[in-house]
Amino acid sequence: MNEKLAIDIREITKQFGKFTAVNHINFSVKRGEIFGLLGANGAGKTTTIRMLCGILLPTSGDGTVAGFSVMNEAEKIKQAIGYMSQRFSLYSDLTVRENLEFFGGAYGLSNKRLKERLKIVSKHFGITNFLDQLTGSIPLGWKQRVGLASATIHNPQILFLDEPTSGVDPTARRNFWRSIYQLASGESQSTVLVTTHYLEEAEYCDRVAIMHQSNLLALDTPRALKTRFEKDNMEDVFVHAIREAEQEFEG
Amino acid sequence: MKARLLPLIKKEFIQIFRTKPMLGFIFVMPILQTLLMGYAVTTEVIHVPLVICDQDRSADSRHFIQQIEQTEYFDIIEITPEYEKIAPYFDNGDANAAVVIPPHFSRDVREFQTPTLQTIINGSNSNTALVAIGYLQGIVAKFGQHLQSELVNEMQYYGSGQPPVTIQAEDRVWYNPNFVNAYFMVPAIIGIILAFSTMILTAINIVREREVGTLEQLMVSPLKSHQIMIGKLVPFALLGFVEISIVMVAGKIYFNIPMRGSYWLLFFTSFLMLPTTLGLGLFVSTVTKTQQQSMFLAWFFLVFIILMSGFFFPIENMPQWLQYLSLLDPLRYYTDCLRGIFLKGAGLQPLLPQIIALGVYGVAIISFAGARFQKRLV
Amino acid sequence: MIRGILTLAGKELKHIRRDPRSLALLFLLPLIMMVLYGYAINMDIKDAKLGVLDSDNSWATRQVISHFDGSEFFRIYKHYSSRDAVTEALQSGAVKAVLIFPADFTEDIGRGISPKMQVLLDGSDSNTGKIIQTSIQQILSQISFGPNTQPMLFNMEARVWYNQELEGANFIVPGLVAVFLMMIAALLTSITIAREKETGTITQLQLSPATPAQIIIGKVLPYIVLAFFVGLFMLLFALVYYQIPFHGSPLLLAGLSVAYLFASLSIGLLVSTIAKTQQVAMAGGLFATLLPSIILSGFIFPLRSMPTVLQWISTIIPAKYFLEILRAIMLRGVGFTYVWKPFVALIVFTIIVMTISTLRFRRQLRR
Repeated sequence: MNEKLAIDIREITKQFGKFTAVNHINFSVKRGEIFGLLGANGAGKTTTIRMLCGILLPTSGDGTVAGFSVMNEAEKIKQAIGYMSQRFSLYSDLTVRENLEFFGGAYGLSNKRLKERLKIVSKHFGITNFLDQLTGSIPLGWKQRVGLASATIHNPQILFLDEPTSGVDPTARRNFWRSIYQLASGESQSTVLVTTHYLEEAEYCDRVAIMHQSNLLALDTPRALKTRFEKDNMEDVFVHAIREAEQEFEG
Repeated sequence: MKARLLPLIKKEFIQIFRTKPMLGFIFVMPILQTLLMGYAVTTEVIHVPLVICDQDRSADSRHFIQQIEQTEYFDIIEITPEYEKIAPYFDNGDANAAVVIPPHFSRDVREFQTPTLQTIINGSNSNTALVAIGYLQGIVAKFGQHLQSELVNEMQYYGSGQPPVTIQAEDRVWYNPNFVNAYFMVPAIIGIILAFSTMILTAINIVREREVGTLEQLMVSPLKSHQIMIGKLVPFALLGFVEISIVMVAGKIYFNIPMRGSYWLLFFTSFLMLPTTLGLGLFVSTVTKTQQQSMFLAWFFLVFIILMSGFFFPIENMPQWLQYLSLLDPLRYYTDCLRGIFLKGAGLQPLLPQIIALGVYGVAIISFAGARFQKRLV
Repeated sequence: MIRGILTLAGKELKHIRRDPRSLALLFLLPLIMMVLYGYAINMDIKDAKLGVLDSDNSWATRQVISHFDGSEFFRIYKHYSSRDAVTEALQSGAVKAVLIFPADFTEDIGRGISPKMQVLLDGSDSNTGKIIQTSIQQILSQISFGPNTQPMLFNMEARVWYNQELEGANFIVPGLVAVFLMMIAALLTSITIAREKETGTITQLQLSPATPAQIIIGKVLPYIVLAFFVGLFMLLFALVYYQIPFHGSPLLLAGLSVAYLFASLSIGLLVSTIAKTQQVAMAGGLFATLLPSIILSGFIFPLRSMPTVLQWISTIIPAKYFLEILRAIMLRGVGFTYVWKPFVALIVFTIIVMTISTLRFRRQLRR
């Protein structure tokens, strides 16, 4: 288990009774990398992320996130990561500022540090104008930014984003990815693991893993995947990879 | 670590105060309930509509009617000599009691024919029926004494031999000499309100966060599950204390409820009581998936513990198996403490068994619910 | 018009079917409640614990004590030896009353004067306390020491009409049915509209061609049917388990129950249009139905014993009217001519509340 690796997992498996949600998955993510987890709904992406975040215990396998064991050191993992779920998980009856203050406080930021970080993230994500509005009343695209701001207010090394662009318009999505780049390439060198089913977004990632029905089908850079499957866009790559896997299964 | 807990509690309060209906609920409802219970909840029986069928129409029957008129227990709605008129009143629901004085009653008494005075009661409401019968028996007994003295005067009737000796009993009613209903109800209302808000609001609140998704966000944060639990329960506990105070003030203003015991003991027992209902609310949140379900289940528990607490209905009157069941009810012990402290000025000694029970239940319930809460998070 | 309503009703039905836990609770809870409450609600005193402080300890005091021991209302719990012990006993609630006999009790009897004694009563329970006081007085007044007793001048005969055995359950259980039915109906409907508001599907309703009236009727219809069956279920259970008599016409009761159901549902709807979230809807629904139904409907506590203001308020509580109808039909076996008044009251109530709800809902949809 290499310390330079932000995420490093071996044979991670999760079973719910007889149903296998995640089947012996292996991969590793370097610091500062933007890693994409692609797959249809129900492929096992969310379950995988939950295990990496330390809120779900794997049935077998092990790995580290931020250098801490996924099996035994879940609490330490939580300190070092940020998380944003599909639904943005913000309190709609709190103002944007109150949401940020709450999450910052929950991560143990001192008052002074909290004020600093709040200023930084609101400027960074352009939500300064919304600070005193009720989170429930702002448009979806801006809510997404607030979600990202809340997830990064404590400046985590690793950021887990579960379908962060669901239901958001293309312009907003592009802006969103720009923010991700800034986070990854900036001085913080954050590692970002994103799940998505928008296949064109895969192009933005450094490396991509394709999941299908609990299995990891392929893992490489977008360019390498296109070469391998002889396609020129990720959508075709994805469809082809799935079909191949299903044929193997039947055969 | 406290630095992390405070933002959680602060957030809860912001949310609570921002929901106007919730506020109304928390602050206005206790007052309304206090008033309602204090005034309405009574098993006292008064103004029972009564029909008198006077077939004798003598001076004696008139005296009897007068005696009834003088009490506030019965309202005479008709005096008629016709027996058939009684039934329609009962069927309509316009009368619940009737007295029939047979013809020649006065004459028969003086001739020692022992006539029969008939009373009719609407048995539908068995509780009030029994009480009404009791009242009538009392009035009739007094009427009997009146007739006795009449006969003594008229006929020099002394009966035979030396009159027997009856007991002279002096009644002393402690704690509530006038049997004021509010004294009985209002201290116990504190328990009801506490149970209601802490249990139901807690359960719904947690399930709501789960439904919306913010609970997951809390799980991912470094907040430990016991911190999340405390962060959720503390605001409602504090609100509980606020409600206790509101009820006390309302009780004092409207009903002049006495407070004969120690405030410290009151707050101590309340402090012991809170973990039990908060724990139950927490438990409900771990076994239900939607707000609707949590509401139903929380309500179910609530109704049960209110019923078994001796708030309305005396536990001693219940069948044995129910009485045993009530031993599991923390509200029962708390209600005992409340009435003991407010009305009887009871100190630690007489209430020790209740206090111990509360403590034990509190620890047990919170531990159990907390363990379930923890498991579900992972 | 009808088709629109049926479509909406069908959708609502699917919501219901998809939530089996709620459904189970819906049928199970009232059942359990009816069992518990039916047994628990009993105001007659039985085996009330008495204490005794006897400074005389003679045949006379023992005779008095035996009168209490022999009565089914009382039970001698403990003999105390000091005033302090008595005080603590009353404070802790161990006994409800204490009989105190002075040392010269028998002496007085011998001298032909009325022996004196003291009765200390715990007045904190104002309900049973009074009954205990009266009962003790009654028992004591019937005790006399002497060679002769007076002959009775007349007899008193007490007849009970309807519910001859004075079975408490016959009174309580119909009330339970009324109260729970109201609460279930109101709770169910109070959530529906609030849920649509909360999840945002109300926008879809706004866009559909259905009129507000259609939407409301469509929503309410499945719940009426559901509540009707729950009510039927509860009533049957009551009849079988508690053997409550049923002297009147079941058809009449069924017909009138529908009016009551509509009234309860209309309350739920009104709450639903007011509440913004489900949380509030449920709390409001409960508050608006449960407490008033139990306390101000004449269910247990006699309305005539309450202050006039509260009696006025009780006129807008549907449970009050339904209770009259229930008891009249079940226990007295009367026909429609005797129950038309409460029936009309229910209809008027429903119309008013439904209208208000529809108006509110229409305003909310148009926004």
